Amino acid sequence: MDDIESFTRILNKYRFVEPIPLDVQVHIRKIKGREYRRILKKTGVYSTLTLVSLIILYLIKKIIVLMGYHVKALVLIGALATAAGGAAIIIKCHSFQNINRIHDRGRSSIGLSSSVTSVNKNMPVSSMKSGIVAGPVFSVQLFTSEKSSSDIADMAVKDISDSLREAGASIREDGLQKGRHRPATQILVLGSVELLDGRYVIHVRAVRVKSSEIIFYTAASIRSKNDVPGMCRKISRELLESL
Amino acid sequence: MSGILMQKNFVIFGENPCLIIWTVTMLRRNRIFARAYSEYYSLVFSMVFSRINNVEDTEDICQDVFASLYHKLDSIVDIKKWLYGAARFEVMSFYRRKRIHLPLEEEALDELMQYNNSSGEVMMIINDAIENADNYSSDRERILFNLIAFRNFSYEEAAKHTGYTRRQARYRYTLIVKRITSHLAGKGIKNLEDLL
Repeated sequence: MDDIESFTRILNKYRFVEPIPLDVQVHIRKIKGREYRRILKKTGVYSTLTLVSLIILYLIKKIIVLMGYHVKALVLIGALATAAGGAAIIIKCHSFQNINRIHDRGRSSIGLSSSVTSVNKNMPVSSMKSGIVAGPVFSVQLFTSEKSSSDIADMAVKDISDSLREAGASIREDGLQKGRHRPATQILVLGSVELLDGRYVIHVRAVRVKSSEIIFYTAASIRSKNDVPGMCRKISRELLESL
Repeated sequence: MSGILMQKNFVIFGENPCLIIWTVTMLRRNRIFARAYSEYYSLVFSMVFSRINNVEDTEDICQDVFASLYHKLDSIVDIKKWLYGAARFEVMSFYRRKRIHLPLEEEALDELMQYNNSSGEVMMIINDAIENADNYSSDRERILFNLIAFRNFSYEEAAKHTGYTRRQARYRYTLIVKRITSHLAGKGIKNLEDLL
């Protein structure tokens, strides 16, 4: 009989032992974290930040204990490289945003001059895909209308988009958000069509997305569908001139 | 966002330096509490469970014990002793609330009376050897020993509770038993089997 066995028998004989069932042993371990949060809540010091920091500390501790020296060194190098890469990306993005901002500021102060428009005219369509756009990016939203004038509204949206595109402006067909190959929308074109006394009245307004400022508003009336393309070309021209 | 927070805190701390002291105190208190909880929760739970035999009630009692530990942390000298005392008190209160007539101290006395005087002396010697601080190199070792020896934890479970590997737990437990055996040998008990 070895020392351990003798010692265990002595402890049992003199009733030092108060055994805990195995399932309870496992249960204690499982509830330890949950109970800690409950106790902290009870004491009033619990917050999400506390929880997050505890989890992070716990994970770091666990990971560090399990890692060998070589792995620790590799992880450290990896973390440093990631941090440096992240910093470089942030700096790059920040400088790119600044360039865009300066570009926008310059345009708003001098207006969209004909020279800029002419540059836009010559701009290749592929430049939209690369995300680098010289002029403001428009997005023409669906015009509101009653059922009787919905076809006019659809025509107006299409014609205004086409007219703006022909004038060299960049048009975003889908949402407003910036994507990998999609620049963010800067000017939103909204409108409505209504039927009044047998004439269709088209209201168009342009809103600057960043500031929600209405930069252009016009209303025009037409007699029939045939007048839509001509009127839309005129509205688009006025819109571009107003910029 | 973090910049704004830092600026805000700087302004607040600048106006009220006491807040810095308060924050440092709170952080220190949280650190000590987290350590005490991590070390002693399993022990306290086991102790309470062995008297109550109900997991949910034990959880409630442990919550009360550790919550009051948090509030009284500044005035407590020996956290382990305080926890044992508080747990015992909470168990008594639990029985009182449930109106269960089971005075634990009397029960323990009855048990003790079953042994003759010489058994009582042997118990005291063993207890003294176990409690001797020289047998343990750290609190963690003491907790490991308590879990395995008194609560019948498996090496694997005790290791998981105390942060050792199974092999380390087994090795350390063996070392502690050897130290206790040596201590008993110093008291004249050369052969453990004599006590059986």
